[in-house]
Amino acid sequence: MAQSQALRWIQLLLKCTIFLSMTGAAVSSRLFSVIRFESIIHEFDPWFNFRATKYLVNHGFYKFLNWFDDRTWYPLGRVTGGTLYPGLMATSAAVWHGLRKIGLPVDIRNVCVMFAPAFSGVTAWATYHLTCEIKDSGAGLLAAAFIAIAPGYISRSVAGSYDNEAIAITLLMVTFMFWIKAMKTGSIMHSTLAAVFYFYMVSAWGGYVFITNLIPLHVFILILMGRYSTRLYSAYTTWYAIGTMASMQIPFVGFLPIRSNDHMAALGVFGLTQIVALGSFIKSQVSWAKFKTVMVVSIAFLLAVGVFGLFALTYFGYIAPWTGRFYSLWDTNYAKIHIPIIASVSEHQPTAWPAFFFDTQFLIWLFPAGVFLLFLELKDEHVFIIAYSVLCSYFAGVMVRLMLTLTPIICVCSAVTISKLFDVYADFSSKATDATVASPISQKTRIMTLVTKLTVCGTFLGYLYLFVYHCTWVTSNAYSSPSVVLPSRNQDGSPALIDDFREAYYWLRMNTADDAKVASWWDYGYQIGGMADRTTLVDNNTWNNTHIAIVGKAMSSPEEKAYEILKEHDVDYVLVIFGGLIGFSGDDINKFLWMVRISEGIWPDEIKEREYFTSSGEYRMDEAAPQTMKDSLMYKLSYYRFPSLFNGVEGTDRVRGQRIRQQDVGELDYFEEVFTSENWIVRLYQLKEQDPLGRDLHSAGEFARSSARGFKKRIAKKPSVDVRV
Amino acid sequence: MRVFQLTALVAAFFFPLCLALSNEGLAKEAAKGKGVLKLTNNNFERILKGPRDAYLVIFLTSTNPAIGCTLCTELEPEFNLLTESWLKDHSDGISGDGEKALFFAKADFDPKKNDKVFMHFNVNNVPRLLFISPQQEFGSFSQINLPAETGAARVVAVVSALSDATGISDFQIHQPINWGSIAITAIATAAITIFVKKNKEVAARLASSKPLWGLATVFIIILWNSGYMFNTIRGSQFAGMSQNGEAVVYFLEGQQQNQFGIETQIVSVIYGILAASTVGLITFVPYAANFYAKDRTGKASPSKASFIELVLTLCCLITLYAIYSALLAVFGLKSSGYPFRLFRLPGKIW
Repeated sequence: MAQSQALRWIQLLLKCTIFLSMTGAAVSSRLFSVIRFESIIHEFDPWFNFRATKYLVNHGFYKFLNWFDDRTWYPLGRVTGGTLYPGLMATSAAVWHGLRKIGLPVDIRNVCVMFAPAFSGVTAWATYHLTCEIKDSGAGLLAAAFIAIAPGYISRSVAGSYDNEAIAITLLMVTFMFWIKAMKTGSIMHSTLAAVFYFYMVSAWGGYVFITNLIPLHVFILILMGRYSTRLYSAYTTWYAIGTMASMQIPFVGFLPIRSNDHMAALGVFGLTQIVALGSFIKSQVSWAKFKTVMVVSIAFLLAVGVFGLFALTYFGYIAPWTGRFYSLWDTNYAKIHIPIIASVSEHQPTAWPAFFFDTQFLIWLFPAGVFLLFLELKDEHVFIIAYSVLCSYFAGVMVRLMLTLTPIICVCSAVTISKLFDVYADFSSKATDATVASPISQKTRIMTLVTKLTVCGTFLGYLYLFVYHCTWVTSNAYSSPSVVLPSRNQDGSPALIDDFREAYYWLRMNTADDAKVASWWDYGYQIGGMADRTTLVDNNTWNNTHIAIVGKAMSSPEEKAYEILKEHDVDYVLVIFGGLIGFSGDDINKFLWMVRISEGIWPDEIKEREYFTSSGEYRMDEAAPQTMKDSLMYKLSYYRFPSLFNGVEGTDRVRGQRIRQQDVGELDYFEEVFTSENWIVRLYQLKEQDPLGRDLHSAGEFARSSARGFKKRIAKKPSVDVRV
Repeated sequence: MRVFQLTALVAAFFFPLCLALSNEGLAKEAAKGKGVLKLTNNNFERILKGPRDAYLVIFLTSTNPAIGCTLCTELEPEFNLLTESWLKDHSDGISGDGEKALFFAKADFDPKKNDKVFMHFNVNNVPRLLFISPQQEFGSFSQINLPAETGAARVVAVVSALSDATGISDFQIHQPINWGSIAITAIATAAITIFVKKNKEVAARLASSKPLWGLATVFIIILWNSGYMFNTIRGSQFAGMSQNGEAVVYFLEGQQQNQFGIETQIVSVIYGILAASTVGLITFVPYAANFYAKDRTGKASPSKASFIELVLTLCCLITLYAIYSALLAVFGLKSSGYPFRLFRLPGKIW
């Protein structure tokens, strides 16, 4: 007795140590960016979340929920409090307040930066418990270790990537863990907990719809397989009732759970469970023959009513049809045709196979093995894992960003495989009972068995070892760049940072009026709002396609027309990103076609994509570029004064490898360059005031040039044009 | 006097027709080539020189495999769909309201027969879809842009462009019904239904067989995880050609965000073998060892069992190792700078 007690303590101690080191590994591998750069918020969306969190901390929760933001989407503004998922901000504000309470006043920025790594530890814990329910604690520990370092999850949860997904995956796993527990036991407490975490998930990420559909799907499949039980009934109905009521408390979600088609499956299965419950009650009361007729008639009736009702309600507008993003998952051409703005986002592109391998390495081939092994057992909870695997494999194939939801299940399934393998081959305890009963086993046999076991264990330990290296390599090379600060090298090979974005945003903050309006492509809206604190026309929220198209139209129109459009919208400054000097390929010229496409969608008569290509269909910036392209504002603003950096006649664009001629770029009459960052990545222009003499600005400019000819030459600030890699 | 007037009127009415082809003439000319005017060195000036009442759509292409224009071969059935749809409703080439006429002309490049046509339009690359309205002078033409979509979507786009340009409102696309596919579906359905009816027990066992369902599920999972959806959405090329056009290229090297269609097949086979060997190690090897644990007489034979176990295990492990190192090498092709390999071929850098 005492011995088993001691054994249990040792096991607990080991488990704790393993968990601690796993959390340590999870957190530390996400810190590359902080160590290499600094504690900084990454990319685009996190800047909005950060700004919202600051607002929440400064103004309190109620003001936050009623926040009307007049500094974005000028002049429309955005009802921010009602159109965001507050879960992330509320959590980090709570953490911040909690830390202050215990006497640790941490800067809110640091809380936000470290948020995702901290939660990855919790994800590992939840994955452990989920996998324990699927197999045993050995598989659980493996799954937790996998999820802690799998690049597919790290990609969205490095330090500084303060996005909804950072917390959402944690909540996803916790919700599923409680659901499995509830479904196995029928415990109302567990299903209530699942519902509570579902509510938390709804408050944090739009991807909650995945849970809303996956759990009903699980229940539906179980019913189809004839595995209905009262446990299932109590678990599902509790979860659905509490979860739906709770989710409707989020302002952005509101009445969607009973009105949108995305949620109808959950409601339908809720109804189905009631019918099945009734059916199984009747079955226990009447004879089989009678029950059969009752069943057939009622099923036909219900199907007819249900399908007809759904169509009728959708037709009369009581239920909203599927949302665009959801719909584009099924009809893969839908987005390309109807919503170019969704298609334009790189994370909505389909996934090529290297991305799967890159994000999960050898787990990707252990995953199907695991699914097959689960099929051989096929307990109720395994059905859930299988449904999740199939659905998410499809989703991840359609959209790169959904790799994130696939990664946890890959980790779980591969952990099951590895753990089953080790169950067979890592059992070195000699079977004492066998040895005594059966004929004595020869030395040779013993060695052969040992060799078998050792080679299998050795091989797979080697693969696991390689996996760790792969994960570290991927994390450090691919997923740890903040994209606000770009790493580069000087000519002598010493590391350097390209910090143009912050330089320009800081310039904006310090040198422009507090209410200045900045027009830029939507990608930079959140950053301008967050770092420069200036009003923007469009931002990454992309809720208003027309407004984005206005900016796109201005950028693709000739100078004079663009000036008119921008003046109408009260714009003071125009910001463009230009990578031609140092070879930064994510610049506006490369995104320009999307601007053209999106504005063509609204004004097909005025903007035509075809006119921005050469007659042979090429996208060029040099002398072969079509006149429409050379006239467009984007071209002018990007290349203004660019040839003067070289010899004044021609400049070489390093991204596109083309020669830009001064005569194509010409002069600017309606805009005035006010700031260009060190490496020319960010260029800022001010809209000129109307001419005091009433001339139009073009003729005023012509006049000024003709009178100034030969007098003075402008001395331009020239950066060093050495190549930086 | 009256006779003279009448003659003058008739002459004035028929005068243009003497110079150029009337709509009927065009229709007659088109009837020779199944409704499409075949442009050659001999006839193109006669057809194109106005005045003319009809709109002309001219398709310049080159389906000769020696020239190797893949887009041309792709467009061939689409152009046929376009012309057949128009001719189905308008066999005489005249629109429903009787006001507009539209004819299709085509020239498939042949240096002997129709090189002057291509010179006339000053074309230096094919395929081209050109458009000539009745008012345009001889020698002037406009071009119809070919949209990036493929298949029926492209035809729809071209038709809407044509309707805009001509003002013809009743140009409808008639997709040909694929009788072959319908027949195959019908026969397959019938065969399965009959099989199920005849062998209810077998069918029931198959339908509830866990390994069968498992295999099917695993199959689609592997397919989706190796970029199948990428191919369907992007319509990837199946395989490529090397720069000099001699060898077939199976992998788009160095491009992590892009792939050929064949890569999905290669990678899914690799994944399949790897998963199968792992499952084999877990389920089949212990089963086989157990099977041989007792010989025919029922006596325990542990040495034979462990020998079998060892051999099977080694087989699985060697397969795993070989295929996995192949996978890493293949991934190294796609991701330049990927440092990890399980095995390096002597003399070769990858």
